[in-house]
Amino acid sequence: MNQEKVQPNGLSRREFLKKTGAAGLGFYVAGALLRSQSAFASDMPTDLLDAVAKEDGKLNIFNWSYYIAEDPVTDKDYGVDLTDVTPTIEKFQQEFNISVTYDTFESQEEMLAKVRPGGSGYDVVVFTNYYVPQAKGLKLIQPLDRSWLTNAENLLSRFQGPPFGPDPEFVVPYLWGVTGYAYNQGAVHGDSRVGHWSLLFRGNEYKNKMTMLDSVFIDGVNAALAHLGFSINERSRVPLLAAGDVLMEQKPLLQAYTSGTVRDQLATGDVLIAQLWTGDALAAQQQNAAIQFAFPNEGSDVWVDSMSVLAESKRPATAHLWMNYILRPRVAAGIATWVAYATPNNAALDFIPEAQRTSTVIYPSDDDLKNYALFVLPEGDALALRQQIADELLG
Amino acid sequence: MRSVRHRLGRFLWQHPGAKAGTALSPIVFWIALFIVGPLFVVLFYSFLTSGPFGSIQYNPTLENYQKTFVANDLRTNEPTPNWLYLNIFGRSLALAFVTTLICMLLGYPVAYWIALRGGRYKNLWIALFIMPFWTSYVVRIFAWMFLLRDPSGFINQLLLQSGLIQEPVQLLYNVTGVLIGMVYTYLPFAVIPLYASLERLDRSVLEAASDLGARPWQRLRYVTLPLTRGGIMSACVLTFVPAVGEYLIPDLMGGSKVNMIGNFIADKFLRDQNWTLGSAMSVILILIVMAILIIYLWRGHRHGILEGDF
Repeated sequence: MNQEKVQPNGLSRREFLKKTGAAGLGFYVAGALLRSQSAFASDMPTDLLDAVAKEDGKLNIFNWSYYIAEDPVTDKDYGVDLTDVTPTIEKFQQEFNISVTYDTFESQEEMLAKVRPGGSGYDVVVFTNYYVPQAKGLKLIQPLDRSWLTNAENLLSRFQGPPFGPDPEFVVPYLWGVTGYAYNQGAVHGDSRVGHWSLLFRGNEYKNKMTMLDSVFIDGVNAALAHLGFSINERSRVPLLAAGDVLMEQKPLLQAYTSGTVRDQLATGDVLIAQLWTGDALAAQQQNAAIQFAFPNEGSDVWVDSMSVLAESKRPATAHLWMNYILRPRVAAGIATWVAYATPNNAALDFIPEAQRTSTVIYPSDDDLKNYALFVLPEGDALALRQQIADELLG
Repeated sequence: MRSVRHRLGRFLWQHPGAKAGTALSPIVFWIALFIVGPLFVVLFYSFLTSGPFGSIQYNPTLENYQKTFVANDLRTNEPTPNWLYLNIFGRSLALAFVTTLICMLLGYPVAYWIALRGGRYKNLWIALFIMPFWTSYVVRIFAWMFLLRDPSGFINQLLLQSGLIQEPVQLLYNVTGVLIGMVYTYLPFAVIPLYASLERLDRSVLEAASDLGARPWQRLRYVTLPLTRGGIMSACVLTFVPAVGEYLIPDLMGGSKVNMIGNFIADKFLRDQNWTLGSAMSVILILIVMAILIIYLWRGHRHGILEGDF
């Protein structure tokens, strides 16, 4: 990894404010000032633009925090000049004369708590793949008009359907990544368990120097299932209970269940092994070159965050305009470069800095992912069992 | 117009109850709207049924309360007392109690010193106690985590480099970490009411005690402490009540390993999307705290120490 900035923001991307419930980092810029500008928009279907013109010129977006290009992506900082499409929201407003209100959340659960009762006022909301079926089941989101999403052809085929494409009828993939673990190369040097979950579950030598993600009912149980040789989507009682036992045995070895602070703790060496997502591990690596990321051989989950239009949205056309805009190769590249997660947009890869594009952590090979799957949130007993396991573990 | 006002005045004059009601109406309205109202929503939800995907079904039930006390064992599926939840209620009460105790032991000498020995800088010292509130609570908790981490935290580095310890001590992600965070957070809530009551202490009574030959500790034991019991009770209540419901500190400084009831209730609402069970657990927590307060205040009232202090 060279000196180019992979992850520019200070503390953790997703989770810093999670505990406060304070998601209202409202980002509002009046588009009215920019009315004079109107760019050539050949990739937008004319009927879409007509429909947009009939709406009120506003758009409310709800996304993970630190999950869009908030600053210009300059050659000096990143090795590529994407200043024509970054900061993303500002450029969109300028081109289409839309006034965007952009709010952020710190967890899917927090987002659901706001969106589910209705009346949240959002048009476009980002769901992680395993909450999409629930959003559909609750009729929170509406089917998309694919004829308006002309740029969807830029998506990699693996994200347009199984195994990694969540429901193309309802969502447009935004960014993706993998849950694995980060480790300190200096501390675990020569340990044959690197690349296996057993390092985290049986690493007695690293007692109090290891952490697991705090959404135990998903990430903890998934890791334990994979460690035991089951699929992360296993739903039978016996394997799930066995996973619960493994987590219980692991608890005394762990320093904490956390996601918010772990990046920094890896960098300082307070934590040596941490269950983590790809992009966060890379951010820690920028501060401490000894940090590496492992794709556990036994499997784990690939997750895809994707955009949906809320069923109650009164601006479906403007929402489609936004999504088709995000699907533009350079726009997608600007976002992926700034946040250092992987874009599902094939055509965007050409514009991404070399350091990121060739990183096997951000863009793992098919071989790395051969035991990986999208996690499907179970319903009924299997879900209740996962929640009970987490309760017992944290209680 | 004048006669209407006049008659209203007379009416209120003749009916002291209505007069008090009118004078208090903004605060009564405020409490009804923002405190009693939401509590009734929670109470209402606690008797409903949760459906799939966190939907709420309007079937009245007591199941949520039953679930808090009786659970089916994870392995045998037999109904057993819900030790998990009962344990967490117990742990929350114990942690809040210890926090209150430490806050009193630390806060009383501080408040005493400021009130009686603070001199002309009294207000400055009190302002210093209030100053942390100028920054966000979350930021302050993160700051503590940077101080306490092992081994890179400031405190561990100081101890290691001064040779006082050979191995780093674990001050975070355990009960110690949670208690440090709680005592830090709630200490001002203890100091302020203690200060207020010590400040009002009649100095001539203290002088009289000394003149009559009381030793300093006798004066403290038989004069100062009894005269400030009202302040001590206010300080205990103001520390204990928010401490029982603490959520952020166990989550961050306890690393989710020393969870309290607040964390569990948040999990029910957010993670499980089970608003009805979360509501029932909230109601039980409120009832427990209320019961403790009533016993406490009733005992205080019996000792006749509340007058003038509440």
